[in-house]
Amino acid sequence: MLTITDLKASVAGNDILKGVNLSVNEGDVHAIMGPNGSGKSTLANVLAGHPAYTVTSGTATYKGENLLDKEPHLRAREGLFLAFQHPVEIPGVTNAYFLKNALNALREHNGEEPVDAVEFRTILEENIRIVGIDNALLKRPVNEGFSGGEKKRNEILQLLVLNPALAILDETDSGLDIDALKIVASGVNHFRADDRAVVVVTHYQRLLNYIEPDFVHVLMDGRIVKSGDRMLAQELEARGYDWIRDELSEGDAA
Amino acid sequence: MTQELEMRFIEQSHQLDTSATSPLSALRAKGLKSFREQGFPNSRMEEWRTTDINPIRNVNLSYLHKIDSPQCDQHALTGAWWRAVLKDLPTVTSWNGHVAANSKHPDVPCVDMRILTDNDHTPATPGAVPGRVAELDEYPFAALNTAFLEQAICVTAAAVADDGETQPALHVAHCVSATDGNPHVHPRLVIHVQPNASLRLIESTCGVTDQPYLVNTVTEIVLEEGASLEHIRIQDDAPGAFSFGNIYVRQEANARYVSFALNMGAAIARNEFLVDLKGEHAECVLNGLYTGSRSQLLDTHSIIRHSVPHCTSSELYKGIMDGDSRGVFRGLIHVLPHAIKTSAYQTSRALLLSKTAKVHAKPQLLIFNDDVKCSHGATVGGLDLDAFFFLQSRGLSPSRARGILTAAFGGEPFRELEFSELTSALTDRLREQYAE
Repeated sequence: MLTITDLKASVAGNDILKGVNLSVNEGDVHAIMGPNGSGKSTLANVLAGHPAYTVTSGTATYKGENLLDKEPHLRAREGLFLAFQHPVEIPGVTNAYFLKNALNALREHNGEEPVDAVEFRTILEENIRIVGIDNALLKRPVNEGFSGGEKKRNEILQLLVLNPALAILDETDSGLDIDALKIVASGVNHFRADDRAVVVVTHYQRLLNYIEPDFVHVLMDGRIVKSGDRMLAQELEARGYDWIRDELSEGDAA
Repeated sequence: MTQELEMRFIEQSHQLDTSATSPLSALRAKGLKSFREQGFPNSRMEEWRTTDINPIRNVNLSYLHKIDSPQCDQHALTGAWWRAVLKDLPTVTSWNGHVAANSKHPDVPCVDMRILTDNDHTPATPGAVPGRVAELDEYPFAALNTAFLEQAICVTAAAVADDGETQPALHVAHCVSATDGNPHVHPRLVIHVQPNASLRLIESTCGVTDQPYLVNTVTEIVLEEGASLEHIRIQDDAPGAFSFGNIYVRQEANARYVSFALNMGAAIARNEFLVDLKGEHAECVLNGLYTGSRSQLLDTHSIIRHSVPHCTSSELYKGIMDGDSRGVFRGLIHVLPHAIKTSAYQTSRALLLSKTAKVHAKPQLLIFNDDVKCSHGATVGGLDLDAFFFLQSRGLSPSRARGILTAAFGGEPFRELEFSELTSALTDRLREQYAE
């Protein structure tokens, strides 16, 4: 579904990604872990097409096409979804209005009829239950005055309503208490399916207790330096990242 | 300072009936005297420093004496998006500054509307006469309006008999049609809301012409104790027009004045508000939006005078400026020594959509006592790029995202408007307009 080859990217003139290779197949859940400043969020944002990030070389192929050439809204319409680390507040645009318009933009792209008010309400009600959001938040402006947990649940609500093929979660666990974490994880698990893929970007192993990854990668200094199964995440939790750094420098020395 | 243009206006006003001894003719003489002393403003005056009105001097403006029914096609007006919202409201229309003598006045419960002239000067209430609250010194355009005061639309709103009745509403439309020449027109509207009465007033200006013209309104508003007025102003004048609005408000105790001004048409437009909070616990809300493109100059000046204790005022103005357009916002909150326990808030925000658009914002607080809560803030900036990217990351096209965000920005001053049909029509309009 997604193949990233030797991807290099910079932000504000600083090289952050220094050659990332990653392959994600349908049905996979990948976790990308790494210390602060290793480039995890950059990778997520580059894939979604954030204009602040510049791809300097390398490729990313999504569903057989060059992803990096596409404008952000076209990436979204073709099924790529980024759950933001810091969801933005949009005063004056209600959550329900925004979601309905986003859903209809995707449907139009897929040659489907727009949802009417009744259909939309049905879709919403089904997914609101899963993420445990208060109905009133739908009538409020997007994320305005939401608590940290509400903002993250709102991201997962968008994920479920928009129903993409590839979900990239950028530190969705940051700032969540354990109850909110479980709800967010159950939303993601609900989303998980054989024809969909998930990339979970996280600093801590905690979220991975609830979203069990098939693969775990360690991103350090702009490169994926180690990959493994979920046992790797537990090892990182127990031992931190320094032992990987040590391993790497030994490798360099040898 | 009298220049050629001033002379032309003065000569034209001399052609009005000076033999009349009516209250209106006395006001005209006063207005002419004041205009003769002031002339048109120039950019050496502090309040006009950023508002250059010299383009008016290049147009051969003339006064239309005849009070005819309009020759133009009224249907030409119905195209505007806001007209569709207002179409079922009781409406009185002035054409080129005059309400035709044969026009039928709308019948609105609790509302008495009269057209005062030299020949017919019997007001419904002593408060419903022109000249009570308009100030002419320092207001050259109000002086000019007064110099040409042949007619005044005077409205008195009385309290409804019981609470079950709905708030009366009235639309006063000032239209200009220039089949030949460049008219200058000076509509006068007087609103008197009696104790505990309430009224929704929509005042609009627009033109059915490609020719430049000058429309220069004076609106005088007296709100008696406990009275309430929702005043919506829509300025949608023709692209070449010069549009000036002078709004004077006097509020007695517990009176509430809520103004929503939409300034979008004309080449040069300026609204000047002067609100006098005369009675304790009076409340004033001045909100507005100006949307400029091309080389439009859209200006809002306001003075809110807190003369007595316990009054509240709040002001929220937003601008969306594109092309080479220029916005001016100057808001003065003046708190006099006795006006303790005053609350006054003012916010001015502008969104610049092009590199060449400009906004001059000048908030001013003049406070002469220590026991007040006052604040002001002004920002000028571009679209929130994080929000813009977020909407696109959910599949909305860049143009749609821009339309949604711009409408959300511009709609804020109107969000508390109880006339929700207008708010949603405005939001739809902004979403379309800026999704290009």
